[in-house]
Amino acid sequence: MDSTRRLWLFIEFPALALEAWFGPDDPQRPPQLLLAGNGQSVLQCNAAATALGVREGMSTNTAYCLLESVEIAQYDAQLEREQLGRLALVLYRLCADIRLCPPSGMLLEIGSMLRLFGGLDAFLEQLWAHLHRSGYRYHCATGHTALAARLLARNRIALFSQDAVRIRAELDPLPVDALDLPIKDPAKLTRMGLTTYAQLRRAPRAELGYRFGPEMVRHLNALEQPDALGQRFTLPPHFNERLELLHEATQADGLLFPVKRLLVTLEAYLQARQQSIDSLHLKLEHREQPPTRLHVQAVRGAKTAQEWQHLVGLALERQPLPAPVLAVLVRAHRFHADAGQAGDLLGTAYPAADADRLLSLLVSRLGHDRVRTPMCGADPRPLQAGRLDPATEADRSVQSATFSRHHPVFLLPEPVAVRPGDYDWLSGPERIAPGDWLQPAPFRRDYFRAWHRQHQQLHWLARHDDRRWFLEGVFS
Amino acid sequence: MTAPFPYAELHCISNHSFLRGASHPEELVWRAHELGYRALAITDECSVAGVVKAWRVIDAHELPMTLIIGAEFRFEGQLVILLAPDMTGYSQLCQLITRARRRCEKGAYRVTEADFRQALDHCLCLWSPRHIDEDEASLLRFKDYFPERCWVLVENLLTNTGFEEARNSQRLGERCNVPAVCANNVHMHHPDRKNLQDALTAIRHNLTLHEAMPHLFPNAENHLRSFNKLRSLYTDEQRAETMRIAERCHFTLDELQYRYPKDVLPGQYTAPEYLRLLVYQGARRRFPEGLNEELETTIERELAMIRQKGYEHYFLTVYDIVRFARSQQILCQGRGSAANSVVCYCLGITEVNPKEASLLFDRFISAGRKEPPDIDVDFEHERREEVIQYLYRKYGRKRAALAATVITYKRKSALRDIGRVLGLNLDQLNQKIANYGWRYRSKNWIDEIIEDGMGLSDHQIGLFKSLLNQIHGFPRHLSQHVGGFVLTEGVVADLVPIENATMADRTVIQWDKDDLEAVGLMKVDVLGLGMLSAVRKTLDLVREHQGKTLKIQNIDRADADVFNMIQQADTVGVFQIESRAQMNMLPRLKPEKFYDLVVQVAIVRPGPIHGDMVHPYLKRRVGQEKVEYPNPALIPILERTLGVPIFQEQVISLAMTAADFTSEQANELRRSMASWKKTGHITQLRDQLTANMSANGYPDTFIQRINRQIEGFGEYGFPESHAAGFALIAYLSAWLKYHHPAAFCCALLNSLPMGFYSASQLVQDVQRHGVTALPIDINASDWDSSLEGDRDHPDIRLGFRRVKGLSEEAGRSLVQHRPEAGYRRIKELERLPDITTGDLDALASANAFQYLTEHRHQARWETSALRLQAPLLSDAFDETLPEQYALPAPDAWANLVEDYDSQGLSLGPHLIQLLRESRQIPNTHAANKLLDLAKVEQDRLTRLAQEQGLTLPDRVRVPIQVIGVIVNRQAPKTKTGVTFVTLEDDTGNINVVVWRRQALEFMRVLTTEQLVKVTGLLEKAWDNDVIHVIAESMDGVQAISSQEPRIASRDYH
Repeated sequence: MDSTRRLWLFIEFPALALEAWFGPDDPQRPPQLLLAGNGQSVLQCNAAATALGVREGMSTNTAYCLLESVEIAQYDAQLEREQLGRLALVLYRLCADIRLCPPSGMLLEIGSMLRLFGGLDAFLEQLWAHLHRSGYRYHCATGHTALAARLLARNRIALFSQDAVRIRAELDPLPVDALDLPIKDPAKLTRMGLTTYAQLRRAPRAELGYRFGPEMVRHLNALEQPDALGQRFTLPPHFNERLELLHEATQADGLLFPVKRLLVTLEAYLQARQQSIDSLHLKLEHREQPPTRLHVQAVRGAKTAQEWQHLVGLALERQPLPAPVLAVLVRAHRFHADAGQAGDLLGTAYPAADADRLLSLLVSRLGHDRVRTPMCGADPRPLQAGRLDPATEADRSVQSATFSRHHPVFLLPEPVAVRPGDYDWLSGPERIAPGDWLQPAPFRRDYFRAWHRQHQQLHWLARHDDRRWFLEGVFS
Repeated sequence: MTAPFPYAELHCISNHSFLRGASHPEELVWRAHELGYRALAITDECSVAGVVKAWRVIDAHELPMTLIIGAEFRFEGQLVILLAPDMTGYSQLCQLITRARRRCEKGAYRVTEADFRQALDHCLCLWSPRHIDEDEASLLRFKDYFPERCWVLVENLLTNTGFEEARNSQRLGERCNVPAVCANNVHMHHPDRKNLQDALTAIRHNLTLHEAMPHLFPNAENHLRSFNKLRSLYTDEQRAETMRIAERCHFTLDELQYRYPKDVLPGQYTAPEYLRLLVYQGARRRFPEGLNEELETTIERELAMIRQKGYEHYFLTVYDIVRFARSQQILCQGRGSAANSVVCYCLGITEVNPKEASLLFDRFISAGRKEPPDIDVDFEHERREEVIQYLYRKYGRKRAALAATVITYKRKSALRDIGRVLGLNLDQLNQKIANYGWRYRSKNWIDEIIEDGMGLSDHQIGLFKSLLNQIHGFPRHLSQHVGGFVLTEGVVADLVPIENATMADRTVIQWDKDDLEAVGLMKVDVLGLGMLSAVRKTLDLVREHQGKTLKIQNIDRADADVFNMIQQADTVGVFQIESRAQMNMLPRLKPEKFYDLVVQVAIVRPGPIHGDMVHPYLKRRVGQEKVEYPNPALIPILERTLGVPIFQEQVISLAMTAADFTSEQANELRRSMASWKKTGHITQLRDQLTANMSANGYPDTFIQRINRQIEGFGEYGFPESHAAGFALIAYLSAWLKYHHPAAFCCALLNSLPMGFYSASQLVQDVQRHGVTALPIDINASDWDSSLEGDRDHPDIRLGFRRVKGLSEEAGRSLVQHRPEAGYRRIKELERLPDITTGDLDALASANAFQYLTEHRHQARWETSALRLQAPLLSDAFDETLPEQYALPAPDAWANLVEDYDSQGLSLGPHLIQLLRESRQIPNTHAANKLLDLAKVEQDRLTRLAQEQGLTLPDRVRVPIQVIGVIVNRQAPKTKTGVTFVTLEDDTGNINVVVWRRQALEFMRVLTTEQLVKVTGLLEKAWDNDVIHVIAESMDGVQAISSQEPRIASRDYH
């Protein structure tokens, strides 16, 4: 590509990290703040917060003084990076030469696309339509050099031109701390009286280089001579996206909106790959329960967000939520038109050990819900501590509390009243009396191991404070 | 309660096992007593931090219960408890704790089995099995280490293995021929502390309660148990064994024989002889005209009291410290009830002549108790470390250690920690706390936060509040006391364990100052005071520049000009009377002699303010109210303050006289006042005070005010003895400010940070007093700010230390290598040692090169081209300077910004002046015009009243608008929630009062804006010149320039 025909367009997403967390802003939203890693200052805030006087860089405590209620999140660089990638995905259909400029910008080489779109105006119209649909705030500008385009966009100068003279005229008044200079302390320049780009570019460049290093010279040169920035964006090989919910969802319909966000990204991805998929795995994460898994299939394959939204919606309707959902994960990794091979339901994600194969067959035959494994939690209340989890639970890395040999593994789903006279006593009492914080009604039980003479079984009995006796478990 | 059998609980930790125990030592003692236990062992983990508090309860109330002192140690999964049966055993225990703690960083300890093999031949050992195969071998070894003094612990806490393990422990003991004894791993006095104990565990592991479940006890059995339960769980023999052990333990803290270090005695004298010698030597110096009969009688009476109590060594020790300081020319001043005595005046421990303050030494409380005297000594803060090192050198690390301070949970820290363990979103919680702005909201702001929008259920809200109440006042960790040294004749660790503090080379004992006082250990407070540094520096400057040698002792204490200045509240920089509140009071109280200053220092405090004592005192001073007393018995106590109790000592004496308190009760009251919020014990005392005073016929209103005053004293009480010491320093600093303003300001600048005002404010104040301040100059400045020019009316030359980012090495190197004729080119600095490019940049920013280049921009340009790392290379470049690129010169605004950035002050035009000149702000009244404006209005009203026969209002009010930079925001804890704001303009300061309603309405402006316009009312009191602006509205003012100077403000201190 002849560099003289290159045209750079830079898009800056000024609230990317904030919006990646909370979703695109809207006027109904309460004030939202994104805090720096140490929590001491405000990195980004939404319009509602700005309206109440909060400013970026403000100390957190001062911001809190101004806001009666607010939603708060900590800066997450990873999330921001991922969202930048998703936005690049959305724009991939417009331009193949996209360079990511983290944390929150991207550079498009659009000179080569203009003829295809019928000119700059037509291209920009398409671009703005996509950006508007994404809901993310943005500023953009074009430039004869990549760096010029970036600075114009970051400083919210919406110039769309290739004319170097015009571009310089817009850049000249910019203060030096808005030039992204590669020096630790731009204030050093202002303290020399070099406060604007115009003054800086007129100063003897060699002297500047001597004082501030060759990077300074390169940077100033890059404003004048065309060069590229950033890392070329490429499509990831698979689709595996997770979204943490802002608020726990207790009903399935509370999941539809977040799922939709993920499916929109999926659609963009599939479009970019020009493929469709015929099955989707959803994982709904809960606080203490094992995750709920859904497997949704589209017999003939589907590739739009709308189609999948409908299917996922139906699956969610049938699926009762055992506990509030904290996060949703959507995974698609097979892009063939036909459905997955018959046989091992669990696919290639699990090792082909005999136990696992057996488990897979059981699960395929009987269904996820009907194959379970006993787990032991740390809750001192026996009925809450012991539970049976779906055997396909993948979180084997989570260590279960050790089963006590003094407690039966199998507990009755509901305690049964018994007569103490029917028993011979073997051990106890073991008093279990956790703090009130665990549940509103006080819990205090004395547990005994006792032999039921008639049934010839070893039982686990609980004596309540009101002196009533209950059978809670049976020793095997 | 009659106990069915005698029992001693031998394994019990208090909340001084930080974040483990869920009860105060006092609570444990009271509960054990209620239950009828014969004895209780407090066995905190590797610590005896809680024992004094437990002991005090037993001692004060003469409870029929033995306190056994011990400690538990955990290592390699093992638990061992040691008990101290006698003094030697106690010392051995303390030594072991010391060794274990000194090996580790602060807060931690380490023991191994080897530690138990030696030097513990008096201690009793309770050994706990781990229920593993190695138990038997381990027990046999411990039996060997503690022959006839070893037991196996049997503890059944009704866990799933409780009974089984109890049986196994018993059998193990039988096999090894070691007796078994029962105990209950007590962590709380009552099971209803279970929630708190769980919360503490979660906090300790930094988890939520849910996450912490694996670490929590499964039930609440580890409390002080009832006899029924003890009988059902343990055998007769196991229970009886507890008493056999208890009966072997007869050590009490009473036995701690504190011995004063004898190092201060020259060989041929006894302590009384030496003290007498020094006192009379000093008396001849202090009273060169000779001792009259009254003085001599007083000296003899004081010496007799010292003799009676055996305090000679204490005074000699303090004398020695002060003597060392004086020998190093370190200024110091003692204060405290014992300090204000003729003896201390003669010894030079204090400069306060007791007659001036009319304080008498024998106003001691509790003549009957063995309470050590208290003397705090303030030293120049910059040189305090030399004194501390002297003590360590003289007494050695084994005989000198710092007292501890126990850091306890306050409301906010409790809210955060409990909120976190309950699983609340901490960001949300912090936001609530900040938004509720405790300064501005109601007293029950915590309740409001909890109940509002945190998503808590009713049950959780109740739990939250209950946990907050319980944890408030709980110890979190030990910290070192500011300067309280314990010095002993023997080894400190024989009396109390020592552990590492955070600061390197600092060790701290495990008791705080209340404990030390209760046990009778001597403590000397070695404190740092910024103003003493400033005073000494002033004296040095005056001597160097003017050739005058001033001595504090010779300064006239009754200089009318100085008191006049004080009465005008012209006290910026003056010790203790420079704050807003003090300056407000000065024109009303109008101090005219030394004792008035003593009152002044003490009166602007929560004690007298809450007790509504301030207005009556002021009214009586100006004759507006009659001086009267609720009862003639109070005249000797109150006559020096016109019948109004101001000082803590007066309230204590009042309690004894008006409420028939015994000296012990009065002492308890005094001690409780400082810590009443922690324990709540004050309530009982207060009820008794009220009842007794009422019975003695004192009016209710008077009683209520005394009660409120005590409450206020609980926050910050001011003893007269301390006020006198501070008043002296206040007077001296005022005298120096009046007579040597340049030297005084210079000294303050060289002693920062200290005091109430910034460097900028100090310089502006001295400029208004006609002193010229000269800028930092590479060829004229020293490291410190200094005096220049006329001998009697010198200028102040700002020193290099004002330059931000300039190292002291660089500053001193500049001065040291400065040629006689001065530096001529910036490039000359390239070759100086200890200078970095950062240093040169800093100097250029501070415009230090203004006489070497055109302006500071050019200077920066030049300094940034210097190559300091390779001075040789500079020879490779042409020595003839190339034409320097000409940079634009800074304007006045840019200079202002840069001045503040680089030095924190500016000698150029004030920000407000620049804004006025460039018409960026409206015309408003300047600070120096406000008083005149108010007086004109006052005159007008007076004329009008005379002409028309109207009543005069109580104050003058004029609608007004003012603009200034906020340099101070203060929100003292008052019912009204008022905020005091100080605005600074180019002519002075404006005091603004923002009531709560305006503060809430203009919260954003008040808390975030630097430059503000205030619209409101100018108010002046009718009978004095105190003025302030009552704000009705506030607006931020935006200067057009994108850069505003960063002028520091003092916020909410």
